[in-house]
Amino acid sequence: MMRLCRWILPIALFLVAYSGLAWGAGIVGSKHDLSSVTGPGPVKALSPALGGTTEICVFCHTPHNANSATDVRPLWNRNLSEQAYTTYTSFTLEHTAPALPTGVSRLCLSCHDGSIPIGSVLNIAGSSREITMTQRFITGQKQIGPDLRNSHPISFVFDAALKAADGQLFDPPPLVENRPSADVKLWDGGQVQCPSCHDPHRVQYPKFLRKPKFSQTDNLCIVCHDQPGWTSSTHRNALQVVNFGDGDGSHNVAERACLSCHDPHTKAGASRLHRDGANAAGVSVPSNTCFQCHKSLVPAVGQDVQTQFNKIGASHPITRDTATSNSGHEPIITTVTGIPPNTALPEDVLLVPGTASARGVPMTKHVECTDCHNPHRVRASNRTEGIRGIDITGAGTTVVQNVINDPELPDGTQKQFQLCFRCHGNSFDRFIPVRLDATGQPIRTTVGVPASLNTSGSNKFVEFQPSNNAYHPVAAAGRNTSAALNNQLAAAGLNTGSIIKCTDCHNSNEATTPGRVSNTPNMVSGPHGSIYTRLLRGRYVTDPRPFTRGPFVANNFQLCFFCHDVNAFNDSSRSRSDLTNFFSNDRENLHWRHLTNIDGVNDFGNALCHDCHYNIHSNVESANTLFEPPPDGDTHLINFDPTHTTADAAKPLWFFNPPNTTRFGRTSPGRNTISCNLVCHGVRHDRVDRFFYEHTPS
Amino acid sequence: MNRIVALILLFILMGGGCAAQGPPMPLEEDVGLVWPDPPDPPRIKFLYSLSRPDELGIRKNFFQRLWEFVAGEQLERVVKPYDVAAAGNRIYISDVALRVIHIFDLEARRYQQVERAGDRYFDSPLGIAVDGEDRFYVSDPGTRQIHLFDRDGKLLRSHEVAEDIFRPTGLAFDRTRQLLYVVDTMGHKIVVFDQDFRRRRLIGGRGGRDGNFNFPTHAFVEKGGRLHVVDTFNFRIQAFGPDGKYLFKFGRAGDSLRSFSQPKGVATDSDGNIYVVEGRMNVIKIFSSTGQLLLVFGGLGPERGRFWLPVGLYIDNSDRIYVADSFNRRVQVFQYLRAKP
Repeated sequence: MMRLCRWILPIALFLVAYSGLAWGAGIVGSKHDLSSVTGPGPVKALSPALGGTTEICVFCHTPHNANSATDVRPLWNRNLSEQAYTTYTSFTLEHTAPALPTGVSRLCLSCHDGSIPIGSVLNIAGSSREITMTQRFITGQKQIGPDLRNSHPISFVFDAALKAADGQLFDPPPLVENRPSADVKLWDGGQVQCPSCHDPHRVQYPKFLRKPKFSQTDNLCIVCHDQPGWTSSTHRNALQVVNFGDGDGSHNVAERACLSCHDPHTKAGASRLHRDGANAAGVSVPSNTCFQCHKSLVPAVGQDVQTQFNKIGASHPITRDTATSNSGHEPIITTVTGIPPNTALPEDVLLVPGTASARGVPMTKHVECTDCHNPHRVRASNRTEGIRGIDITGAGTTVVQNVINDPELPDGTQKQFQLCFRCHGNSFDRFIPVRLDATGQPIRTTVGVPASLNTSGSNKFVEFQPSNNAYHPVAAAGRNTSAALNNQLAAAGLNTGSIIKCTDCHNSNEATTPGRVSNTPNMVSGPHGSIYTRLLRGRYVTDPRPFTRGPFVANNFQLCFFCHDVNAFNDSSRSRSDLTNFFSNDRENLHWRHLTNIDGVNDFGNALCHDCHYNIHSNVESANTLFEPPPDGDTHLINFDPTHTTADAAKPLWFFNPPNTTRFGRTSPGRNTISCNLVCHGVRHDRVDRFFYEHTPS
Repeated sequence: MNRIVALILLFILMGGGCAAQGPPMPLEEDVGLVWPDPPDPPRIKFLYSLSRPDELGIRKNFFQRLWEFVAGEQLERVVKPYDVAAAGNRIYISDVALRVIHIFDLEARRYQQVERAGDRYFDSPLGIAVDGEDRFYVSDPGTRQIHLFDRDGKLLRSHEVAEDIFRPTGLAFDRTRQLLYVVDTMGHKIVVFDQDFRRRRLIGGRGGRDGNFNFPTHAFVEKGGRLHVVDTFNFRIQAFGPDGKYLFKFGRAGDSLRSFSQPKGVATDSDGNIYVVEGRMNVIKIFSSTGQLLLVFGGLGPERGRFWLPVGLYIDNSDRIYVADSFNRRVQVFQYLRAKP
């Protein structure tokens, strides 16, 4: 029996090699051919007499050697039975620790441990045990590290239940049945293991892979992973050529497919198998993956977003509201240890504000590219494809399944704000860093909410409600439909029925063309980074107050004048009632009067837009203004800076005067007028120096 | 004023000078793990397991904690041990994952990590061998170096191996003859160096005949100068005399008790019994000095007395057996119980 056994294997190999089956022949001469005779080398002896051919398989497939002769029994322990060991075909079922690699993968690991390279391939349990990190990394080395987070997960069962729970998988591949077969298979009772992707017997593709590494339509990943929206995504179909300098050469993005952004054995510390997704200290930086292409490259590959983010100033968070401090949606995690790894904000928290994350992902205040862009579904024709948003309707929990950012919808309404409300809506308190004024106090504009160091800014979901009195038309057309405003906006290509996007104001400072901001190949449009504070596309001075003698400097409010005609504000010669309704009884342009510093004779207001339009999104949360609106209800986005005071009331009052009414000791003229009751620079816009200005119905 | 300064200094010295005082942990806890099972007389006894210094009562002293407050904490545990060696109560462990050498000093209750040889960081520190003078050698195939350190991890010398040595991994040191045996795994040979790293002899060459190797990995020299080599992919152990002459071999590929599937570490005890680590089956096999199977112990698991892909093996003069249990992230220590003559 033994003699026959000895002959079967070499005969089989002989037949196999000659029959052209790629099984045994595939391994002869490959890196897995460890035989002392055949490989890798010139000698390929098939005759068993040389003792060579039997040795190819034996390094991984331990032959049975069940010798029942008594001399096999250990002398010291005659009771030990030979049945203590399983056969060489089954490695599982024995271990009790659940978190260590199981099954067939241990076979690979038992060799790839350093003495016989590839490098030192090592795996220690992943998420359920304490994760250890090595102290230094040699860049470029593909080490399957002790931290399993940087390698594709293995030793888990992939069955129909997993497919149903995940929702982005195809049906599980077939179980191991017949060998040889080149296909992706599951092992050890339906588990994904190392040999699911690597075929140790065959060198058909590099690294013993079972499928081509670079292929748009036939790559390894899409055997199991079914990403919705991938086939029409720009990332899948882009033909720009990239060479990462890792020895794989130049391939276009479509051909790289998943491997443009993912690497099944990636840098240690990277999350989600992001390619290059960690910094030198081993901290996860997902945006590094995007910046592989979306940076300044010649020739350009993706739009250069990294340069936008590089504008963000060294002082973070922004604590001082200056005109020139850089700002942006900062996506980069700091390198300080102890801050949890950045994995983008949890979806369930963003969509249902107030809830804790179901998955227990720690909350960080840093944004990642993937909070706004879904890289699997993104398209040049809609850059937010696949991202969910919160709609303006309802209580702020109405979830929209897909935010359409580009192009605007045909009826002129835009929905970009749905994306922004994920963080700048009802849950803004948890994400928006505190902003402090010049004295170091937190700035608050939300009425009734006490100032604290944890909150700042305001709830844009509340501010842009169409039921509000006055607002910039982001979620709905504005309330002011006067001819004057229409003329103001005409030069910018807008009108009183226009609806604008958040990014028409919050954009890169390179968006200098008046009117709406459009995405062009040479300019990255989006709220990524700007040299101006508050991520604005133009200067908008609020603090400190500039003072130059002379007419007001239009450049201080460059932001506004992208859409609003500057002549409405700086023309001193006439009232410009064609462009504005804010003029006095004697036809003086009151914007000009308030904004100018000195005309050579008198000192004027030296005001900022900010003084009277403190919150230019909406005045629904005016903390320092009382309104008595005119009959048409329009309050023209008036809300006064918190530092303004008045002697007559608790807060400054902006009120409508019907004709010939007496209020605060003065009688109004015979027309509809508006008055302000407040004190500015000692000029009391109240009883004594009260002014009336025309109210033209809007 | 002087008195205050003196007092402050005294306190600092007390805190810093007293190294590592913690509640002393018994190193040899008698957990009753012996092999073979009773009623057979016990031959191997479990002593303790080494993975983290604080488990052994080694605490950081004041200055170490101060330094770590400033410079950041070091990860102090065994992560993936490859090889192990010991001299008295000092245990040296090479760790491929952290790329350091751990030094556990059980007598002085100190722990140390060596991550560099001089100013060059380790790439893949694999083999360790101690010489008779409290120095130890480390082989680093990634940088193609063999380093010699003193007992505290200070580099004494480095030797870059010649081009015909492809991958130096296992190390063994013959104290009597002061010879260092280096296993060249990818070169299928053993290179013998003397104290000045001059090459004395080459043993082996690739092949299946007696005296040939196919990917040898570990080696061990016993007191009499006999060299045992684990000829891993010929699935056998070969023994050579101190002059390099082939003596005998045993073992073959298979899954039975006396066969090997993936032999790794090798060592001998004071009675000349040969211990071989069977990596894939996660056991240690003990053979007599003539190659008769005596005992197999271990098995797959994370508990004490079980292994998960064990690799390196060392037995010291007191018959303590050190096993680098790589995937359980620890070194386990056993005791060979000599039969009374």
